Amino acid sequence: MGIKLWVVVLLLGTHLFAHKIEGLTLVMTPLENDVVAIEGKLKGSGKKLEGNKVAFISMIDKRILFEDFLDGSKPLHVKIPQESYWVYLYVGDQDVVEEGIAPKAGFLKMATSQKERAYKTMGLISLGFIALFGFVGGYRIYRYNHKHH
Amino acid sequence: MIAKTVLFKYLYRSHTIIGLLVLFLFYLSTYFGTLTFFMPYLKVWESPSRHFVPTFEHTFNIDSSLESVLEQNHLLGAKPVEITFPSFRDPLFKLSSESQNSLYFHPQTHDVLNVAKGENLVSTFFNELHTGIVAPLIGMPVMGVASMGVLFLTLGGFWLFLQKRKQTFTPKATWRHTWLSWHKITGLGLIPYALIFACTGAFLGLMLSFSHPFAWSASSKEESSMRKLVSPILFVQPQYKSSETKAPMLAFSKLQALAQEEYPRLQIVGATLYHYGKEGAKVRFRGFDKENVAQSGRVNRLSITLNGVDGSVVEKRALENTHSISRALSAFYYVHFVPDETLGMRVILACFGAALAFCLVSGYLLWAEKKLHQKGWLGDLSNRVSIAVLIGIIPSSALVPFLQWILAFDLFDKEIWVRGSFYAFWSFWLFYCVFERSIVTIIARMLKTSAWLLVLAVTFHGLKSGFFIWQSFALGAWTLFSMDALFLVSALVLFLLAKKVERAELFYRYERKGVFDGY
Repeated sequence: MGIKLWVVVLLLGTHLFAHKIEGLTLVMTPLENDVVAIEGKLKGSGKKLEGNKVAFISMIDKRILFEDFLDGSKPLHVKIPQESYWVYLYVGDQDVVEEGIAPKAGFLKMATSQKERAYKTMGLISLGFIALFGFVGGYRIYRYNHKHH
Repeated sequence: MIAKTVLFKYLYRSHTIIGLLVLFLFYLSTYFGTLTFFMPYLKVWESPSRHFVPTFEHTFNIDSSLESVLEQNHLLGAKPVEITFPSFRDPLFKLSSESQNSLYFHPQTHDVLNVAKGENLVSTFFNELHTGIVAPLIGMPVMGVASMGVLFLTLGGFWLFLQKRKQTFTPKATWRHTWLSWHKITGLGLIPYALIFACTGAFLGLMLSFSHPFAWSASSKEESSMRKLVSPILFVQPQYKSSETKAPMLAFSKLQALAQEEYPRLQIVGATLYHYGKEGAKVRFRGFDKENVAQSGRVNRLSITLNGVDGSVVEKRALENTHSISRALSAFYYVHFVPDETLGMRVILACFGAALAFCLVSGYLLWAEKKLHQKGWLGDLSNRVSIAVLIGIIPSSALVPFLQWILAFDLFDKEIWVRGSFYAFWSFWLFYCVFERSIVTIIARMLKTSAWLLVLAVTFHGLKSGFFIWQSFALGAWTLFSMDALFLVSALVLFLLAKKVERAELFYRYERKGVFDGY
């Protein structure tokens, strides 16, 4: 059915538009002594972003762990926090978000990963209902044909 | 004579087939497009940062804080800084620079606000559903093609009407004829509206969908919205030479007053700062011509550029200096986006939009009537799927403002939870349409659910924002009050409709045959 395909395509769209900006990457490179280098890059030209706000936000209580602006010439060096965190890069009214990398010894306070959780949950529910529609609709047609032949 | 009859038959058939093909998509586009007319007000209603009682004419003054704010936020580089003044579209004062994060200010307290991306989730989502951009790559061109289909239907329908009028026609009092006459009345009455919006929509959908990845990779700062997509492509930023020597600037409000004095017809909506705080700094004030709003829309903004140090006029871009193509293009976009029009015009256009949606539905019902008298399960099942799409969209979209207020604003991936819930709820109604036997029950439950969701949305909005409808009224926060009132009135209308559906004999007809026959 066309409608199934349509809903699947729409769900895919939801996935693509979340905390991502096409053509833009947030580069995180782990360095020695639990330091991470943060950069924002344009995929096509490889040009580095400048002046954008970057924030580390705790996944435990959502407090801001670190906040600074990107420098076009060199990457931003930040000490890795001891708890699970997100790295936010703000561009216009949007943001690019990645889950931050862990320090060598691991986080002291861990939170369950939220990566794709919303997308998977809602996707599963939607597809579940579409499948139910298929089953029930198919059953009705089967019964109908059975009666009329 | 025979040739004419054959032509008539072909056109009649193609009107049906193309109509059925584009109906659902164009209906969705019309539905969300009609909601989008209220976007500026919805934007205020859904966003906690925009909940304050506006003072007279969105006053603001950032003279004292401008320079320090620019410095603190790394905005004193070589890139120009865009300022958007508070307006009915957004009561906040906005600062942004190419591919840098935007800053918002409270226009009264001048505090820098932390406006999360999710605050405008409802209006963004509805607008994306309207343009079809929610479906990656194919969405917008498909909507464009649907608009072309509607152009064909409008013109073809008119031709059919003229042909049919010549033939003798005896109307019989059947539902088919009722739908036909409503389809004709609304269809003919909406020809100008449908032509304008389908024509501009087809152009935007097909043309912009191909330029959109391009604009995106060029990473202009406002990519997600269709309207914002248009401007960076067509606006060419002037280049001014930079200088490293610092120089004191004239106060911003003084510059604005000078600009207004030099160009009284300009209704200033924003400004651009070039090399602010340095020698050779320029400030360009942009806006529209008060006496010619359509030709100076978003793609053809007029401006006056002043020297930031002494306030002398550097450049004036008046309507007469713009190219006639820009003016025509501006007028063309204007009829689709109505960018600078306020409430009155928007309400009228929304009424037309609702009529167009009804015209599309009556077109479907004409076809459904024919199928009703044929044996087999196809007619019944297509009716059910159509109800899921055409009416199921109402409760699904009513869920969105409710979730916006009931879910925490700092919920991670809130946008996906809400969008996902919309699709999940829509899929639920699709399932419910084949699960429940009675079509009347299905429609009535859909309408009642929508009404309850809207009432709950208004209630939770009041609880969480502290602006209950009576408080907004007492304080004079008219945008919040009217949005709440609009939701409540819609809820009431939906509830009355549900009651009517339950009583009307009409809808019981659809239950008598088909899959559920003898079940």
